Amino acid sequence: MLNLYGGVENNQRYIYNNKGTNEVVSVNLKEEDIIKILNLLKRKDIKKIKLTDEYIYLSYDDMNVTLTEDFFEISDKYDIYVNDLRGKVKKYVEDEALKKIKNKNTKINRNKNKKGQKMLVASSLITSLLLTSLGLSLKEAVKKTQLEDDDKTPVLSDVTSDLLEDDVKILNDLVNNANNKEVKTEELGNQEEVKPKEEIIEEPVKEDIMEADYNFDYEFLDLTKTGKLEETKEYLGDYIKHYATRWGLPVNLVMAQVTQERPSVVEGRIKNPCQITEEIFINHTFKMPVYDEAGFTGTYDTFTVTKASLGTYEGNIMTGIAYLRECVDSSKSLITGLYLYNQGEPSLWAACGYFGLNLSDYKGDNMTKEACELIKNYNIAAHGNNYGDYYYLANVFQYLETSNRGAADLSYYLGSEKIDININNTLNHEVGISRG
Amino acid sequence: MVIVMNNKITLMDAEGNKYKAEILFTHFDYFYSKNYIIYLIDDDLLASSYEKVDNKFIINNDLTTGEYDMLDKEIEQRLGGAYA
Repeated sequence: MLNLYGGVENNQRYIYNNKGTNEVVSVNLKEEDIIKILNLLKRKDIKKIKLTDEYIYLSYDDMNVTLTEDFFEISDKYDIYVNDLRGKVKKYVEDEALKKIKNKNTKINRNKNKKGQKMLVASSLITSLLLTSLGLSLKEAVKKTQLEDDDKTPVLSDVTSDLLEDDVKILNDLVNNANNKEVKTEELGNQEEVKPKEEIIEEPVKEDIMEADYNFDYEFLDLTKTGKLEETKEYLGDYIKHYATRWGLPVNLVMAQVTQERPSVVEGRIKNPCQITEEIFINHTFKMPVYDEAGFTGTYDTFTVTKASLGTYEGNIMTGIAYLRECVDSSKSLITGLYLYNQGEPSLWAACGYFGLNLSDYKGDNMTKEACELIKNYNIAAHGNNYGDYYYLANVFQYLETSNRGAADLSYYLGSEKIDININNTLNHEVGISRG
Repeated sequence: MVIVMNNKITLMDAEGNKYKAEILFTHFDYFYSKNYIIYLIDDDLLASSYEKVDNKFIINNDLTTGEYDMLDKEIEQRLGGAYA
């Protein structure tokens, strides 16, 4: 039986493998081992969960895991893995809690819900676990929260509780802030409505338009003439053309993506062109569907990523395109998949779990904009403003070769189905380096 | 399966009165862009929106009819999911 212990030290999560029975012999695991364990924890069926104010105990068939409360706080590079685990624990806890109202009145008692009253939650493990594992950016929530009327504002009296004095102060501040915000809202309400600036969108030229299955309008610069795209073609173009075509993805989009991803040429070399994170991908085996002019061939390419392969142009490009293929397949969307490449392949799944939404509702090319917005909101809420590149799509598209009217026709395969997508650049062509 | 939970919490109103509550679940609603908490106090099923201020969770009971309807529906769906 494996006994693992996880905690946080110096803002970094760690997991110890406690091998001892009578005496504690802790071995600090390597990063790749921690990632493996975190993946294992979220995938296996949990037999037992015990929560205290300080620890959470998880029991599995072949191991027991003890994690400290702060292990679940958002803090470091393992967040993306811990979020999944947190979601799993949360579901267990909530399902068990809901049993308490089974066979009872399951409607909210609106009369007893004291209208207009604010209250404060004293935090504990479970409250922080439940409350922080959900929710859009709290700033967003605050922005849209209806503020209280003056006559409903509770008057705070002096509270003598030594434990909760600070809490009352926070609550008092909140009420005062709410009143201030309301005044500002009213002031704004008296002003004349500001009309949005009219957007200048070029009328599409009919003969240029491919009858696409899906059309997307995006604003992006045109940097295709800066030389970087040509450099990508020169150094990496053959590999990109070969593997993108072979694995059913549009060559021009992958060319643009690699151009955005890759660092500059230094001493005649491009280091790690697809910006592959070694610890995640080394030893990962990809199984790629193979396509030709007639569509899916029924065969697959299988390859395992090694440190040596990542050091070659071909192996690096193969890994990057294969990962994009996985992202596209998991989201059933070319553009959502492209965004997931940057935001993390599990992000859509995690976002839906985070917000309590149905994952299948956000898959598909018809849901691309909603899915990307959801992923962005999730990662901002879970990881802050500096997680990945929230403008990744526009940054890739700026290297996408388009027609004179700023459109790119992209075709790709999803399963055995060929899908045509049209990307329209709605940015005024006077902006940036336009080829108009 | 055995699950031992510790989801009892203390809520405190603006006048310092304290209430023992038991969290059933939390929910984020995309339409209203708000976080909600569903909980029990003395067997009464209650709901509030919540936000985090200075690392403290503040809950607000002032919900609209639409929000109550949405949350009732959410409870119904979750009960279906929990026992399906």
